[in-house]
Amino acid sequence: MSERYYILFENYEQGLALHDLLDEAGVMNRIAPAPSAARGTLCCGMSLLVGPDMIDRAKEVISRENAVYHSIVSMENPLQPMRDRYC
Amino acid sequence: MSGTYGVGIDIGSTCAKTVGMSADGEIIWRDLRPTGWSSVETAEAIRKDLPDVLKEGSSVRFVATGYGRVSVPYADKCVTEISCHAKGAAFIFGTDTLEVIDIGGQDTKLISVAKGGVLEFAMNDKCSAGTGRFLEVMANLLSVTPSGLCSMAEKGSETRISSLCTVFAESEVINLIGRGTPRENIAWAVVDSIAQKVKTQAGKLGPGEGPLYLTGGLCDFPFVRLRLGKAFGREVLTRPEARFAGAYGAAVYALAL
Amino acid sequence: MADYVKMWENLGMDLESHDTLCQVLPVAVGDVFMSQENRPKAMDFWDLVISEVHGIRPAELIEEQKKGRKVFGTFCVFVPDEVIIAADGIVTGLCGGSQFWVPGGEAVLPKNTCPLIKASVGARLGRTCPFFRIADVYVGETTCDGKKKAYEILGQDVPMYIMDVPQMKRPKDIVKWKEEIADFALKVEEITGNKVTVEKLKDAIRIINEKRKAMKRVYDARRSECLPISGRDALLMTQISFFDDPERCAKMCNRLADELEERIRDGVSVVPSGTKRILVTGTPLAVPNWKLHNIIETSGAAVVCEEMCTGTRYFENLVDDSGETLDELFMALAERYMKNNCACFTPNPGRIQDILRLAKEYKADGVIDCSLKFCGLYDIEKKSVAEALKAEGIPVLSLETDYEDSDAGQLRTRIEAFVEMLNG
Repeated sequence: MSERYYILFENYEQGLALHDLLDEAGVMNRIAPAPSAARGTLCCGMSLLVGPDMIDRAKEVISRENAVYHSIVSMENPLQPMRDRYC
Repeated sequence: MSGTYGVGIDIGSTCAKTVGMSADGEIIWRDLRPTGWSSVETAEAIRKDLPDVLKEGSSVRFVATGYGRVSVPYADKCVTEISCHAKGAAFIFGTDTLEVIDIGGQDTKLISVAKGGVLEFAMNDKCSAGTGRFLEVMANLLSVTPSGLCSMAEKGSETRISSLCTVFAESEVINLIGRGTPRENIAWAVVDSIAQKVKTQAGKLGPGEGPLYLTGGLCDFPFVRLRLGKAFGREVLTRPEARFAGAYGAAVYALAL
Repeated sequence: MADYVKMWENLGMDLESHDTLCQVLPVAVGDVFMSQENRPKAMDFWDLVISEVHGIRPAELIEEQKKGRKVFGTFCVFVPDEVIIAADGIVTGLCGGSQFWVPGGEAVLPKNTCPLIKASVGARLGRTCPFFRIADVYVGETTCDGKKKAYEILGQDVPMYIMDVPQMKRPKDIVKWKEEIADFALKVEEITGNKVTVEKLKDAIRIINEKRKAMKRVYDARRSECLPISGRDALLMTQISFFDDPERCAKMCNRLADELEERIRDGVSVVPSGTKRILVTGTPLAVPNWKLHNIIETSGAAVVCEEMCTGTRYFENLVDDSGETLDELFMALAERYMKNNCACFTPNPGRIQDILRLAKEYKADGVIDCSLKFCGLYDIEKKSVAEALKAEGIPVLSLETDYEDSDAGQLRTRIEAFVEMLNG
C-alpha cells in the first residue's frame, strides 16, 4: 500500500534529464537521495522517487524517450514521518 | 455523534490504566496492569478484557494517552497525557481550575488548568530524577518496594542527598549506606529529593495559592504528599482514583468525540 | 558518481566512516521531506542539493580552487561574506548539525559543550565532511565561550582567523566592529592575493543584499494565511543558503518565491485552514538538524518563521552600498551586522522586540523557544522571552534539546500538548 519506487542513475545529469522528461509528461516525481539499501555499489547520490500510481507511466516515458537510468527499485514503507530517526 | 460510552486508555511507562465511562460520567470499568515490555500487546490484552458493554461498537469511543498512546490501534484518537491529566484531574477533583502535579514512571508534569483546559505546563527532560523511576531505583538499592520505601521514610529523620541526578544520587545513597546511615533516614532523603526536584521543575508554576492536586502512581504514598506540601509550602490533595487521572481524562475526551 | 569517491579520497576523507553518514541521510530526508504532500515544485533544487550534498558543491569549490580562488569556512552570521567576495574569495558555512559528528567532538571537548560545537569539531577531526576538508582557512568569531575555546583546538589542525565580536552595542562597539572588519579585509587580501577595492566591495554588498532580499521574499510568503510552504522546506532552503554560491542562491530563492506567490494567489496551502502557526526562536538549526521542525509539523502545527541564525537573523537588514570610501563601506557593514540581536550581547532587548514583531508579522498562534543543550546564552534568555510573550498574550513553549534521537518522544509529548492547548 505504501510502496515507493526509486529510479537510480549513474550520475545526477542522467537523473535531471529524466526528471525534466517526467515533469513534461506530467508524471509526478521528486528528486530524493537514493536509499542506501538500494544503492549498492553506486555512490551517495540522487534518485527519482515515484509513487505506485505513476510508476507505469514513468516506465512508458523512459522507453519512449530512451532515457538513461541505472535501475528501478521498489521499497515498502520507506517514508515514515513519525519514525524520529534523524542524522 | 456522541458515543454512549467513553474508554480512556493510558499506557504509561510502568502501568497501563483503563477507565470506561458512561455519558453521565459514571465509571463502568477500571483496570490497572503493568505495561510490560510491549505496549502493543498490553493494548491488545486490554481490548480482550473489556466488558461486553465496552467492546468496540457504534456506541463506544476510545482515546489513548500516555507514552504508549500510538500503540493502541483501536483508539479513535490519541491525546497527550498532559491534556488528559488536566481533564482527568478536573473531573476527579470536581473543579475546573486547579494546579496538578503528576508524577509518573518516567515523567513528572506540572499542569496549570483553567476552565478544564491546559493553561501552561512544565515537564522534566530526559533525566529521571523526581520521577517514579527514581523512586524505583532507590528502593532497589535499599532492597524494599517503592511503597515500602515511602512507609519507611515516615520513620526516618532529616537527611539530605544533594544531587538532582539519578545516577549521582545513586552513588550518594551507596555512600550513606556505607557510612551506616539508618535505612529510614536514607528513605527520608530519597522522598525529600523527589519533592525538591519537582519543586525545581515547577519553576514559575510553583508559587501559586490554594492546594496542589497530586495525580499519578505516587499519590498512594502519604509521605510523598507530605514532603511535596513542605517543598511547595502548599497543601497537596489527592484521591485514590487520582492514579487513573490520565485514563479518566482520556475517557472524558472519548465521550466528547 | 564514482568520481566523488575519488574526490573524497583526494580530500583525505575517512571513506568508511563517511559511508555510514551517507547511509542515514536518505532515511531522514525521506521521512522529513519526501513524506510531505504538495511540496512546491521549486524545492527540486534543494532536493538535488541535499541528495548530492557532499558531491556537487564540493566539486564546484575544488574547481574554483584550481583556478586559484580561496575558500573561507565560516561558523557564524557575523562574519561578513561581502569582504571575502570582494577579494574574489568563496564563503562556505561549516556548522555541524549531525549527531554523527558529536562523539568525535566529545573526544577532545567537555561533554557539556553545545552539540553544534562538538559536531563541528568532530566533522573536522573525523575527516567525514568535504566542506571542512576543502576550506583553505576557517574564520571564527567570539560569540560564545565554547566556540572561542573550540577554535583553539581547530586551529591546531587548520589555519584559523578569529574576529572579535563586541558583546555590547554602544556606538564605540560598532566602531570597534568596523575596525575588526577592516583588519579582516587585510587578512583576506593577504590570503587571496587580491585587493578589496571600493568598486569590488560595492559589488559584493549588492550580491549579498540580493541574496538577502530573495530569502526575505520566501519568508514574506510564509506570512500568508494561505501557507504555501512547510517550515521544513523553508528551513532546508535557509540551511543550504550558507553553502551555495550567493548569486545562484538568490536566483533559486526568487524562483521559489515566484511559485509561492502564485500559490497564494491560487489559494494553494500545504496545511488545512486553521492549522496552528508556530514561530520558532532560539539557537541555529544547522543542516541536517530537522528534528524540531519535523516533530512540530507532524504534531498538527506548521512552522511559519524561524527567529534564528538559520532564519531571520541571517537575512534581515541590508547593507547601505552608497559609501564612496572603504572606510564608509566598512562602517555600513558594521552597522548592518551589529543590528543582529544574538544572545551574545548584553543587554539584548532587540531580540525580544524582534520576536514580538515576528509573531505579529507571521500571525503566529504560539512560539516555541528552543535552545541547544549547554547553550547558556540562549537558555538564560528564555525567561525574558517567555515573560515578554506572556505579557502580549502569546503562548510560549520553552524547550532544550541536542542532536540525539532519544528525546524525540518526550519532545513530541510536549509539542503535541502545546498544540492541543492552542487548539483549545
